[in-house]
Amino acid sequence: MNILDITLDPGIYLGYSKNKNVPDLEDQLTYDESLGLYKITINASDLTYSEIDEEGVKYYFSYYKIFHVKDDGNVVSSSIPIWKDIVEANNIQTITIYADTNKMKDGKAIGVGDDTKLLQDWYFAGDWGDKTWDDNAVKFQPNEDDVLVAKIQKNFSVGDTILYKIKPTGNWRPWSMIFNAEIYSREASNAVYTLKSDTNELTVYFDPKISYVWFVESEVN
Amino acid sequence: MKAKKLLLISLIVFSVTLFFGSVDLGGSVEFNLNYKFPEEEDSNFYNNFNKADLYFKFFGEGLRGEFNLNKASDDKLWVSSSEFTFNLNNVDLTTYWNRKSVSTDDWLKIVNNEKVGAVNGVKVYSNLDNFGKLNFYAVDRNGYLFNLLHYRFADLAGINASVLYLKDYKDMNTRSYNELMGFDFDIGTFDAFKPYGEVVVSFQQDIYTASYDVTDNYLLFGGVRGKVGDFSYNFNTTYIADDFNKDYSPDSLEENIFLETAYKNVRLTNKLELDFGEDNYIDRLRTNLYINNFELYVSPDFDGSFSDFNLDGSEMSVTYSHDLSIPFFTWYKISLYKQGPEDDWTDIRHYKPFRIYLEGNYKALGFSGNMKYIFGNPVSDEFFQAFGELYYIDISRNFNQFSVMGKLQYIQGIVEKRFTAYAEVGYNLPNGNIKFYVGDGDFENTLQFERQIGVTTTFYF
Repeated sequence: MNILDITLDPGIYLGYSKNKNVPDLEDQLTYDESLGLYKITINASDLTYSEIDEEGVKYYFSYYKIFHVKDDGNVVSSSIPIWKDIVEANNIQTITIYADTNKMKDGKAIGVGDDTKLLQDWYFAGDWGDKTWDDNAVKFQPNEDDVLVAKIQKNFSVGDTILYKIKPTGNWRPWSMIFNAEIYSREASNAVYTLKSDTNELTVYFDPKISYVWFVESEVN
Repeated sequence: MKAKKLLLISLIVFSVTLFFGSVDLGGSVEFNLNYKFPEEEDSNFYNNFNKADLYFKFFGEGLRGEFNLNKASDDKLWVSSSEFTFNLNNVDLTTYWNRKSVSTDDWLKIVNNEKVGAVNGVKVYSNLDNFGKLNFYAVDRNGYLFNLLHYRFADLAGINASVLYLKDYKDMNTRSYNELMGFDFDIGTFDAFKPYGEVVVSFQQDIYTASYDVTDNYLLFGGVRGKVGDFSYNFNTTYIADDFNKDYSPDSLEENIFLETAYKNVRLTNKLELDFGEDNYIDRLRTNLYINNFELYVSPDFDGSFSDFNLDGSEMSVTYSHDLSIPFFTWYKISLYKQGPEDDWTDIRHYKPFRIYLEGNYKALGFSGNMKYIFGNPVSDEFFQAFGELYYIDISRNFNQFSVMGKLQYIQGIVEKRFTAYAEVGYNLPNGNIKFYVGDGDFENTLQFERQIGVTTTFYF
């Protein structure tokens, strides 16, 4: 069943406020070989924002999603917010949205993101230590590939688990930007990482261009 | 080894229940255990018990309290938050650990617990009868001392007033701090004319350079309300100077002019949202008209002044709800929303935001429930920000000690489909209840079925 008989030919499409979330041929992403990603660049002035009230605090977001239409089952990302404050504070004219179709999962933000998310802070918050959800959360630092990196020094044993989320500010606001390694949402459950080895340094990588998180365990003397 | 720890948690719940059951206290213990089926094969059984929360509440003579225990990743149980209150004659002493509990009840509720955040410390509340009521907080906020005093005078001839003082240290080296000083009043002497208002000033400074100049660091709120026969009115204005510190206040605190009038069952509210200044910036007017079960909402958008009226950003909705006394359906609600007009009304795919909302309650054969249908773009500003249709139904029934509830939600988007379900069975015991559930009942945040099961037990003693 298709709503209003809307059908799309196979391809990768962007649904956002300009096309009223209903993409057309001109909203297709194209493949960038140097990056190994699909991408599309849009004008920031084409975005309209919705007001979200987070218990008395108002924030403005413009949501988009990526439709990967294919013959063996469509994959559609969850809605991903662009935060108006970041667009305005950086005087952004154009925004590039990326998709990695190998990583995309139906109903999740994984594999889809945009370059405005490189212009804001992100913190790795979790339960590995004292106040590490709040004051002692680790702020991500960018590396030369625009991937964000956070390191945790602690003696972990194989099988230990960390519950975590990635938050946009020290005080978690805006809640709608909190990323749990799957979706951007104000109330999604915590992500879980299970240690594969005994290690004393855990490095967390977060690529906000494609909303993708991975871990590297290492033993440092 | 780890299974033993689960057993240990259960034992603690049991022994705490027994202990407080044996002394002269009442209260409740709630324990939740949740198991999420793994997506990855290498995760082990125990770790999928991603939640093991214990909520403990008790009350006795002169004492009441509550605290939460959680399972951390290192398998230790820790108290995540707590609150204890001791009653001594006219004084309540409350201790807080990691609680969002600092707030004031002045007109503007200028100190908001969400903005202050979680604190550790104490509150003294004193009801001095003829001498008013006092709230005093001394807490640790982000590692620094935070004090708040709110004193409400006793009522005198229908006149009510309060004063508040807040001091929040930011840095002990430079001795810098934030202060708020406020006064609110309500003169209720005459029914037809009741003036009310509030003044608050804020200071962000340190002890070496402290000054109490009031230039652009204040807020004024004031108005009048009254009732004459079947007619009532309420008018007020909020003015916030540019440098006023809103860090502690709800962000709904914004400059506006508000007028409400009501006659019998007709009520009209108008809120003009604007920024006062040399050139006032007019943002938006929100008008709501209520007549019995009918509501009309009209919101013209202004980009700065009334002459910059922006039709495309303007909004309108009509809502009607009604109780029914026919078989099966007991109540319904219908609502239509549209932002701006369209150049091409035949192409619904490219409409600016719109929404059709239908909801109904039903009752049949001992079952009852609620149904919803939404068609729009977006379906919701909060949980499905795209074009689509939403179908929702829930059903519940009580059989003797058992209660059952189930609900389903299906969203059809442009090319996507989202389905989720949740069910629970509860059993009531003489002094508590036990509930088993499947799925995640929070449909706004989990649009797809969550493979999890859990049990929640609550015991009263």
